[in-house]
This record gives sequence, structure tokens and C-alpha cells, in this order.
Amino acid sequence: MSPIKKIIKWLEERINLTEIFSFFSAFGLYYGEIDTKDSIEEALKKASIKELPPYGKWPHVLGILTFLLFVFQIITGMLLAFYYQPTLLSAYESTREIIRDISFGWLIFNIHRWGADLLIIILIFRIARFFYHQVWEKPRELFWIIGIAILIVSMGSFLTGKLLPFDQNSYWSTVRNLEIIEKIPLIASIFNFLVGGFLIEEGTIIRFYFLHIVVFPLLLWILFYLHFSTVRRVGLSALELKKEEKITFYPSHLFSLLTATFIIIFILVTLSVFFSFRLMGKADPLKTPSGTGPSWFMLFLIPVIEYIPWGLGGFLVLLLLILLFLFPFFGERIFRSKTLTKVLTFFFVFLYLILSFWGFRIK
Amino acid sequence: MSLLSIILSISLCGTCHPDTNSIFQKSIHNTEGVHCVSCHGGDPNTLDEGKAHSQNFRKIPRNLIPQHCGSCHSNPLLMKPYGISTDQLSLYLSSIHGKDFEKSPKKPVCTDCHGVHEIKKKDEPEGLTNPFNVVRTCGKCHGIILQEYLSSYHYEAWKERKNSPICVTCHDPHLPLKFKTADIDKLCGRCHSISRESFMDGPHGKFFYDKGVPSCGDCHGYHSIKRSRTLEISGTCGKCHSKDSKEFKTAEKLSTMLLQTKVEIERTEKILDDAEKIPIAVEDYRARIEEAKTFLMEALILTHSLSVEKNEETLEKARLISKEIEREIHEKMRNLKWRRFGLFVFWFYIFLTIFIIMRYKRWLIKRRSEK
Amino acid sequence: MERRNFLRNIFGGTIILWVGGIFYFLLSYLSYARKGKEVFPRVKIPSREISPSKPALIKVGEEHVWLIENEGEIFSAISAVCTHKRCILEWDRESKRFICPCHKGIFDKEGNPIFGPPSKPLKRFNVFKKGDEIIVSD
Repeated sequence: MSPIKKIIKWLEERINLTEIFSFFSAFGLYYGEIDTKDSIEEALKKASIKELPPYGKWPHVLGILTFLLFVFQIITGMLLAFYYQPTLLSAYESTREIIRDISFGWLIFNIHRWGADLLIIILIFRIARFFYHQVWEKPRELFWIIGIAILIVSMGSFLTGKLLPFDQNSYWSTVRNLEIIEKIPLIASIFNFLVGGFLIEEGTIIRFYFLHIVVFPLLLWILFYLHFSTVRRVGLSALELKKEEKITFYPSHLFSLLTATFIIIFILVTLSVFFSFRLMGKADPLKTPSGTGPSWFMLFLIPVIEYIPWGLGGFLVLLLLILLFLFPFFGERIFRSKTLTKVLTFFFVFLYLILSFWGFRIK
Repeated sequence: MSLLSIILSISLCGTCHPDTNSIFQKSIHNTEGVHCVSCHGGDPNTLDEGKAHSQNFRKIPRNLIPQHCGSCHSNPLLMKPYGISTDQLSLYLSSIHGKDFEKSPKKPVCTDCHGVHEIKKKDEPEGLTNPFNVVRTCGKCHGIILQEYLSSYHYEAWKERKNSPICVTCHDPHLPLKFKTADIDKLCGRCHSISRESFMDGPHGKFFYDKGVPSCGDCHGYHSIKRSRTLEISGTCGKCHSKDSKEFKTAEKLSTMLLQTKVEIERTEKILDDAEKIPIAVEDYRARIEEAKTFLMEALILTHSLSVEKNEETLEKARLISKEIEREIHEKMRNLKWRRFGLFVFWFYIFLTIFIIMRYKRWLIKRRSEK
Repeated sequence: MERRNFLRNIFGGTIILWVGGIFYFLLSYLSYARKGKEVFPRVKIPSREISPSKPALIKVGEEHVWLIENEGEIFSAISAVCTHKRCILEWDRESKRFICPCHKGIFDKEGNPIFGPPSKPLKRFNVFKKGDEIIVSD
């Protein structure tokens, strides 16, 4: 027996390897349900011949991309945490050290930064395409809700992470972001409680840091796990596929994952080299640089909150959020026609873009 | 005199002398109750010229002005409440300004510097004795020295509101000494204490103590002090030392060392400016170059002791900082250049990898379907 | 058969190269050490501040050093870090010894261990007097 097989046999007498495999695969390595009573060899064999719809193809690739990007964020985030110091005095200096002095520090920082932007873009895209393909229909209500939750928590992660480098740009765009969130009723109270107020001071950085590296990632891990779990139960949505081409987990899906990983590395590294992020000098609470505004995905909220009188703008946003979450429960009755949903998707995307541009102009 | 007549007396003199009156109204004498009658006598209560100009009315002649002003200003009982000193007249009379002033029309009297009817306090902006106006007041007679002073660094610093001397800082206004050269170092040393210390430590100090040369002014000038003029050694050191003397060689060495370090620091600053454009964050490097500049300043002062070793020690620190900064910045700029090249190599490798993966996958699928 | 081994080996080789690359990359990223700003750390103290009754605990670069005056204006600079478990030593004036508060190790005034857990002697630093200043360097 080969040495590997010997080790596996030794382990299997002492611990349920299939259970460990199912735990790992719960995070996206494998999309089917695993019977933990099988021996590891049987489980792996079953997994490898299990047939799946072609995930590597559009549109399911968005899901894989999201998760892979999330993993990259975790890894680069951990590497950054080795050097970052979350205090008022040394946040900026430690970030400058990472970007300027540490070998490959600039690469890690830029990958983390670009990864965050790409993550939000792809998540928004995903929600749009869920709507387009009516992926909220039974039995996929949970899938939709968890998808929205992932988007909101990712946005929270982005906003808390934005402050951490503590340069002029971070500080002032966080001030603007907080200013917008302050106007949304329920969210403002939750935020106030989590962060301790809407002014940026010593305690704020530490809280933001903790939220950013512990609370939100943990939430996201749990949400991703639940997201995959529901897929394992209900299967992926069968769309009008051009070719009814089924693939097996090994080797097709696994290698597609590998390829996807390398493509993401390629995109992130290229963006990092050509579009490096520049530090704009240490944050100065007394001097606002011209041209800063809230983060790009928050821009669409500005016209809503500014131009609807009597503070109703905030209420409207809150209402929208609640509707988004509970959408599957009333959506079916309203959106029966497929063409209507498709048209509406484009309308909503268009509306988002218009509001964002408007927000950009008046920021 | 009654209050009414005091009030009346002002207005009545002013009826015939309105211009003088309007000037006098703004003066400190008027504020403190010293009026026309106090100096000129006469009767302030009448408009009749003959009567007004009676009663020991006088226009004070020039040669009596110091005594006249001194009649109040040398009286301690009168001046004590105001806290004004009373030694001006005695100082003046023993000074070069006041000695035999009756005989020489060129010598100044009180009114030449303080004004006649427009006398104001020192802290009022238009007062002739206000520090900001003093230079022009003295310059009325000492025109050449005024020009020299206006071209000096002392005046430049004074304009920028820095701690810098004006005429009266060094020369007491009532006893303006032309200083004996043996005392100049104590005068300059009032502010430039470390320079004086280094100077006295070195060979020049001992020579100066015995012979009185070279004094501060011999190399730096007296009123036209400029920055770094002393680094033009043929003009300063060359005045006493011949060009092939040992001392002149030391001077050359010292000035070369200082200039070299200055050039190095400026070069490093330019590199920092270039780096900032890329952009690389350089605030901490700028703080360190300030440290280097401080060392250079220290060395400049130490030069007075004319010791090459002492200067070398301090300048070495400045140069070390400069070199270190340059080395680090160059390293960072080099790393930046390599990024793009590294990226292309990386691209090649990624595409190769993806290609290999896809072929392997295809081959595995084929093998599997063959089974 | 040959094709299979060749392709599999190429694939394996690629993966190994990637793993190796990532290791190198992680190593160089994580082993950044803040370069000491002073290449040759040295400290200057005016000699009037040190007396046999008043030794000084100073820092030369990153290291803690005891600066002591013995009789006759002879100064010695000895590392203040115990060679056992890195605690900071205390100087006992009467017996002229270094005592470690952690495990009661004792060093003599030259830095040799004479009692307790420490077995290695203390590092000595260069001391020289210049004018009325004492300079301690590595």
C-alpha cells in the first residue's frame, strides 16, 4: 500500500475523515450532500463522479467568484493584520510602512483594496441577476435572503475597512458615509450601538477594526455556509441552458475552480500594479480636501436622502431595505410574468446608475 | 487752573494754531495733561494775540531743548508714576550725540528723534520711537549705515517678525556708543552665545583676547551682516592670512566641508521632492532631513572654533542622515521600476499555468470517458 | 503512458512552483524587520551624572546597559539583561553585584554569573571618556 493510503487508513480508524471533508466542502469546494457514514475513499469517489450543471459557465460563475474573492480578502487581510496598528497615532504610519517599506506590502494592500471593490460590484451584479432570473421563487427564498444579507454585511465590511488606513481620503469619506447612515432610522441606531457614535475619535478606530476583522468576517463565513447549505438541499437553479452539458466534480469542476483562482489572481495583480492606491497624507480633522465624497456604492443614497423632505428619505431607504429582504414572500404574487421581471431588472439597474451619477454630481 | 480753564485753554490756543493743535491732540503729552502752556507759557484763556503771547510766552530755541525736556523728564518725582526712567538727559549729555551739542548744529536734540508736537508712546504704531519706526528715525542722519542695515540679514529677519536686533538693541538711544572692538564679542554674544563660546575656545579667541582682532565685525560686518558671507573666505579670512598659509588652508577645508554638506542636503531634498511626485509618502524622511539641517547649523556655529575635527564630527552626522535617506529612497524608486517588468513575467507564468491546467483537465476527461 | 506521466509531471511541477513562490513571497513579507536607524548606536552621558553611589541604567540602541563608576573614575558598561530569561538586572551597591529579580541569579561586577540559574556571562560594552562626557558604544 502506498504511504498515503497507509496514513489515511490509520487516520480513518481514529477520526471520521468524511466528516472533515464535508466540513471543508461546506464552504464551496463541493456542492452536493455528503453522507458521512461512507469511508473517505467512497465519499471521494462519489463526489468525483457526481454530476453537476456546468458552474463554470455564466451565470453561476458569479457565485464562485464571490466566494473566491472573499477567501482572497481573508488571506490578504490576515497578512495585513501582521503589520497594521489600529491606534490614532500609528494607523497612518503603519499603513505607510506596509505600502512603502515592506517587501510586497504594496501588493497585499492593493489586492485587498481592489478585491473589496470587485467583491461589492460582483455582489450587486448577482442580486440583479437573481432578480432577472427570478431566483426568489420557491424553494429558493432563503437563498435570496441570505444573498441580500451577504451584500449588506460586505458593504459594512467595506465601510469599516475604509477608515483603517487613516489617510485624508479614508477619514473624510468615512465622515461622509457616516453622515448618510445617520439619516436612515433603524440602521443608524444599530450602527450607533456598534460603533459608539458618529464622531471619529480614538475609540472609533479600534471598534471599526474589530468589526472589520472579527465580527463581519465571522458573519460572512456563517452566511456563506448557510448559502451553500441551501444550495446543497435545493440544487442550483436550472436555467435555460444552451447545452444540457453535465460535468463531474473531478476533474472538471475542481480544475475550473483552480483556473478561476488563477484568473482572479491575474486580475487582482494587474489592477494592483497599474492602478496602485495612493495615500493622501495623514488624516487631518481640521482640513477637508476637495473632491472627497462617500464610497461609490453609497452615492445613490444621496439624492434620495437630500431631496425627499421631512427626513422621509431615510425612511424610504429603510423601507426599501426591508422590502428587499422580505421580497420572496410577496414577490411571487406580483411578478409572475417573466418579461416584466426582465424589464424591471433593467429599470432598477438604470435607476441605480442614474441616482449614483446624480449623487456623484452633488457630492 | 480750573478744569474749565484747562479745557478752554486747549481750544483757545488751537483757534489760531489749528494745524499744530490737531497734531498735538493725538499725542501722549495731551493725553497725560501736559498742554501748550506747560512748554510755551502764555495765556491760554484769551484770543487776543498780544495777551495770549504774554506772560513768559516763549518759543523754545534749539539749544535749550534738552534742558527744557529734562526739566520734567529728569525729575524722578514726576516720572515715577509713569515708570519712565530719568537718566536720559545725563546719558545724552555724556554721549556723542549730546556732547557740545550747542556748538554743532548737526548733533540731534530730543525733538529730532521724538518729534515736537506729535510725540507718541513707544507702543503706538505711528510713534517715532516705536521699534518698527526706529530704523528710519536713526536713518534720518545715519543714511549710509541705514542702507547697510537694510541690506542685512538682521533687517530681513526683523521684517519677518523674528527675534532680530534693530539700532537701539545694540546702541542705547541716549548713549549710543561706538563700541570698542574689544567689547563687540560680548555684545554679539548676548544673542549668539554659542558662537561666542566656540570663538573663544578656538585660536581666534585667544588672539582676540590679547590683540583685539579679529572681532565679530571684522568678518561678518557691523551693520551689513549677511548670511554665509563668511564662507567667501578670500574676502574674510584672506584679509589677514595669505593664500598659501596654513591658516588659509584650514579655512578652505572648513568652508569646503560646510558647502559640501549643504549641497548634499539640498540634493537629498530634491530627491525627496521627486519621490513625492511619484508619489511616495515622504513625511518621515522630511523630518529626518530637518535633523540633518540642524546638525549643519550646529556645525556652522562650531566653525568659530576653527577646529576641523569638531566640524567633521557634526557634519558626519548630517551626511550620514543624508546618505541613508538617499539610499532608502533610491531603493524604493528602483523597486517601483521593477514592478511592471515583474508583472509581465508574472503574466507569462499565469497564462502558462492556466494553459497547462486546461490541457490536463481535457486529458483527464478524455481518459475518464475512455474507461 | 509516457504522455500521462509527462502531463501529470508538468502539472505537478507547476503547482509546486506556485507553492514555492508563495512560500518565498510570504517569507519576505513577514520577515520585515524595522531596520535599526542607528548603525553604530552610542550614548553620551555627562560624567557628573554617574557616581559610585548613582549608577545609570541606559539604553544603547535597543539594549539596556548598566553604567557604573568603580573607584578611581573607571567606568564599566555591562548589559542589564539577565542571560537566563531576559529580566532586567538590579545593581546591589553594597556587595557590588547584579541581582536578577526573577530567579535570584547573581552576577559579579564584571558580569560573570556566580550564583543561580544563569550560566552565560553578561555582554560588555565599550566605554571611553572624552572631556567630561562618557561615551558608551556597542
